[in-house]
Amino acid sequence: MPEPRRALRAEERLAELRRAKAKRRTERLQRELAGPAWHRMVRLVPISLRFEGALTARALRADRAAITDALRDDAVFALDTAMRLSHGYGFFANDDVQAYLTSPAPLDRLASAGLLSAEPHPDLTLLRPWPGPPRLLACVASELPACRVVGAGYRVVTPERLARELVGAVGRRADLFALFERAERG
Amino acid sequence: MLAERSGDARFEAEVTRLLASVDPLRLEDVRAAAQDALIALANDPLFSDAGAEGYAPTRRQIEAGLARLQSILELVGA
Repeated sequence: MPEPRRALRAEERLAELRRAKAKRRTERLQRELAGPAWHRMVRLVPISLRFEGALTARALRADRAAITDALRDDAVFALDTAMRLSHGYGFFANDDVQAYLTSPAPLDRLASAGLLSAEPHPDLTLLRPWPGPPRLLACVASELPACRVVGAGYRVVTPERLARELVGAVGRRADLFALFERAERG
Repeated sequence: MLAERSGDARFEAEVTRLLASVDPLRLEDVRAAAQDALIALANDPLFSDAGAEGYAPTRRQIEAGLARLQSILELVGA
């Protein structure tokens, strides 16, 4: 049985208050440094890929371009992959692919073609600080999100949704958000 | 609570009145903290590990609450 929480002593309360104040000062400084972009980021309701359906991962057995090409008719690409397909460069340094599907069938098809691992990859962490193979992170949802068509017929999430996915994935990262806004302005 | 009591006009009016009395810098703190809470939820194993699919409605509710808070903050000019 868990022990009941002890009430904080006066000096512990004071230390907690000081920590909270220091954290708020840092946050306000970051806000000031980010400028108007911060105000645009903080007004978004973040989207997490993980909660949009059943998230599953498969290790890639081919390069990213081959995977996106093979999924062109089935998927709406999200987050970093959407950014790469729309603008030619992404947000993250890894080689993962993020996509929405309405069924897991395309995953098995790609696995049979030797493009993906047959078994699901256990690590569903979106941005891994540890090493691991490049993955397809597929969110199997009942319906595909709103999308637009870019490049050679790839469907990617709308810019509004991409902004929300970015904040949901990395928080208020002014550098990445500025990259996104600059790319969208063309 | 904002999502739970979305039909309660008196409750929302009271929240709006209270937020209107807070200085703008702190209102931005409120906005950021609410957004941080939603982002933190995505990283919480309780809400994100296998078997946590049952929490999806809770997550939707929290998103709706954040959207409502955002519109109240717009209303008070934050």
